[in-house]
Amino acid sequence: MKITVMMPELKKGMKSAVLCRWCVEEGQKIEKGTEVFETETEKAVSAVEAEEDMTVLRFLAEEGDEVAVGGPLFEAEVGEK
Amino acid sequence: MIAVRVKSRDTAFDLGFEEYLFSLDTGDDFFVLWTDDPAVVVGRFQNVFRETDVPLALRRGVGVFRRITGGGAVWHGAGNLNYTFISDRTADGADGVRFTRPVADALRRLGVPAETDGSDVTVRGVKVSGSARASSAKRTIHHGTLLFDADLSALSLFTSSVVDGAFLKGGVPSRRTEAANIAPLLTAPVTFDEFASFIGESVAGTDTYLTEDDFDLAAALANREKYLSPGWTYGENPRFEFSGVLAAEEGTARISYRSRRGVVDSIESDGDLPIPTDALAGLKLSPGEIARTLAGAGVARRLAERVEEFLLTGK
Repeated sequence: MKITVMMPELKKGMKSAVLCRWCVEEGQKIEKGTEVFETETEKAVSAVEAEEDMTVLRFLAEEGDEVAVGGPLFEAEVGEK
Repeated sequence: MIAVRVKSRDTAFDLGFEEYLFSLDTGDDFFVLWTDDPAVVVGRFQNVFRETDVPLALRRGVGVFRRITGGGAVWHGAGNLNYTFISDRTADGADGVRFTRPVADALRRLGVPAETDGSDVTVRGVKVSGSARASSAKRTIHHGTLLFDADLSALSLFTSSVVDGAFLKGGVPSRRTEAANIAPLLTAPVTFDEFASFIGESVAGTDTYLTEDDFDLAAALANREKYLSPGWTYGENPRFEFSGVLAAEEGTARISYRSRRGVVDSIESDGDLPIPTDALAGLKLSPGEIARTLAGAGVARRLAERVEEFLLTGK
């Protein structure tokens, strides 16, 4: 099943965060817990992990983009056997 | 809380040691105090070339390093006390007040009317301590500077000579704010070591410290290599764009380039200055690399070094 992963609210009240670095590649199969990207907001760097096993399909934001909470980050395929 | 007083003044080691403690899965809380020899330390996602005159720093024997936490460029050196908290990540992972409040409280016990917003500690609106954080899934590292008796003009020496306008976009910018030292604000004078001891006792609740010798030095030293490597300091540079006019004895040219992950993605030169841009496309942006490559492509050494300085600073 194809899904779109959105920017999470990493801190209560946060409106957006800068997508600083992709830690995976398009087309890469990753396991739950793999660090997918890093953001920085208010001098705090956070590594965000995959919540389930997935294949990263396509990035929808580039490194350096400021992405609103709930804004699209990447497409992925989940639920593969 | 385990209190650690690091003896090393080597910035690369100290950053590596911090990261080693951050990686431990013991559930322990750490409070670390450390001081370095002169160095510029940029934030994780800063454009190191926009934030620091790297060629000047290296000529002056000042190290340039990239840390794993966010925020802007800071100066490490005599009179500056660095502190680090390492603990389990809370549900609200980006909350800095739980770390900066104990530091502000300690300063108030010394008669300094310190306040904090979770990032900076200020006295009457002037910063005496800045900080930054990084979080993994389980742990948070929060570190900061305490300007006890630091050279407040040192950082600007290496930041003001960069032509900021040449760096068009990319990288988290530093916020330049007014800063002050703590020593003149104290109601009774203390030495730097007495100040450090007081901060340690106030925050960690102990006057007993471990040192780096009490831990796995091999792991810390392995991390030290990371902080010394150009692949980390320059290779982890965020995407950015540059454009400026280079006027040299040999001619003038507007040179524009784009960089991603520390490499020249594309470069153009327009003018009468003979720059072999083909030789620079795909090149790592690292001090020495550009001049060497240009010299290898037949450019006279002096011009090669001039072009390198321009591409790294805009000067």
